[in-house]
Amino acid sequence: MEGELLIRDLLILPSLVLPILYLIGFTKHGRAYKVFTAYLTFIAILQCILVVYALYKENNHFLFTYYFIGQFLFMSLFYYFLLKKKWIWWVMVIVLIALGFQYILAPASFINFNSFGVSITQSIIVLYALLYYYKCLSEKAIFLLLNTGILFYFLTSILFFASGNLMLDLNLPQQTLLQFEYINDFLYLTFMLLIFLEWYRNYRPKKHKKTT
Amino acid sequence: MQNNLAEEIQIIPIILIGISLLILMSAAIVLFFYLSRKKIVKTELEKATLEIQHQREMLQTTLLTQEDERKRIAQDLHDDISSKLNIVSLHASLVREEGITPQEANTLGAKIAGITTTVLESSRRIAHALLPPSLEKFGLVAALEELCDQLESSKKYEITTVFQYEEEILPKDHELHVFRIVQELINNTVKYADAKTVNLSLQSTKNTLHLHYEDDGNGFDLSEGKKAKGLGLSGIKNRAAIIGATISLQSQPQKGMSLDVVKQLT
Repeated sequence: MEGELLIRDLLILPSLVLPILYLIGFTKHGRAYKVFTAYLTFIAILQCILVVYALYKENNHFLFTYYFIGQFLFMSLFYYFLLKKKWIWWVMVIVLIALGFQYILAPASFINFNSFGVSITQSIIVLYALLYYYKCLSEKAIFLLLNTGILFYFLTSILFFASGNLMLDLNLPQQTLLQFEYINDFLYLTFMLLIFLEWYRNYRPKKHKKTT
Repeated sequence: MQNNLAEEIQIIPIILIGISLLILMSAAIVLFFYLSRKKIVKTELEKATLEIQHQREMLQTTLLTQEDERKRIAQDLHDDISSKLNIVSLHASLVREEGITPQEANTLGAKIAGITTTVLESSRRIAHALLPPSLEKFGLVAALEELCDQLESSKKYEITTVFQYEEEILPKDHELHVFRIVQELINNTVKYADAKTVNLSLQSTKNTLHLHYEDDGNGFDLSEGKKAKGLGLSGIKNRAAIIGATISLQSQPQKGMSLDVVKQLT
């Protein structure tokens, strides 16, 4: 069990290393790059807080709310700079209002795992990724690997997060829960790997490419 | 309790299948995207290659036309000017010879004057053919009318013209292209068509410019591309492309030909 915990703790490492790699070329690249670096930094900080809460054995479920809302905001901004569509702002505002209503009507969902919120926000990000793919079909394409990673991780993890409450309520054996966690870890690692590959192939310090 | 547990255990494979399906779906989307992109890039590359090839052909045609024109000018200069100036030079040296009678000198002088007049006329004609002064001085309609008058003066053709063209709708260089197109068409009619009537109209409305040319001569088979090229049609096409006009050509053997050049004026 201890060994498993150690492996799972090591999974935080890529989340910490990637923002540092992306920060190297922070000033040289475009706004989309900057927003994505900010997103990675946000995730890294959240992971650290998560570990601290876990160490003190405090309930950290509310952090998940910050995670998916922050992630939605950063990703919306990232795709706003890539797709250059004003309606992305409107979608952002509408979703935030909807979530605000949800938390007013059911304050408990702030502390619990919010399946509705995470499903909606992730689906929208998947939609942005698909639209970006469509845009890239005939135009000059940047962040393709990143977009592939986002599409892959966010689409596959929708079901995983959406069924989160169900799985918690089921009182499943610890072993089964761990298996689910492994699947999520694998998906997350693949996502991290694609983020790394994007940086390695296109944004390594050797190259000085100007991007949007 | 046992029933509940059984249900709970049944849900797990469903979730697993769902996640696997989503993984497959995202893989399919990614694959579809990369394959489509590859195909689109390939098509665009082919399009660009075709465009380059077309431009190369246009350039080649332009160069060939230029060479033909040079050859024609050289021929004209040689036939109409050099040869006659040789005769003038010969007569002039005869005048300078000793023992020539005043009467002979007068005859030679008259011959020199006569030949010089024809040389002058020839040089004016050559210059005129290169760039008609009427186009520059009086505009496109005047130049086209002059062209038709020249054709009509041969008494071989019956020409009908309609000109409703507001001067300077087209820029000067475009007007020259329109003039050259008509010049080329008339050349073709004279050289190959054996026609009796020629209709020419140039009409401009608020939005369009329409040039129509028609003869009732021999015509030709449109599918015989090589012959069409020989008729200078590629030159006409190039000029139409330069001024941003579209052309449509209709012709059948023994049924004459007609050509329409339409340009949208914005």
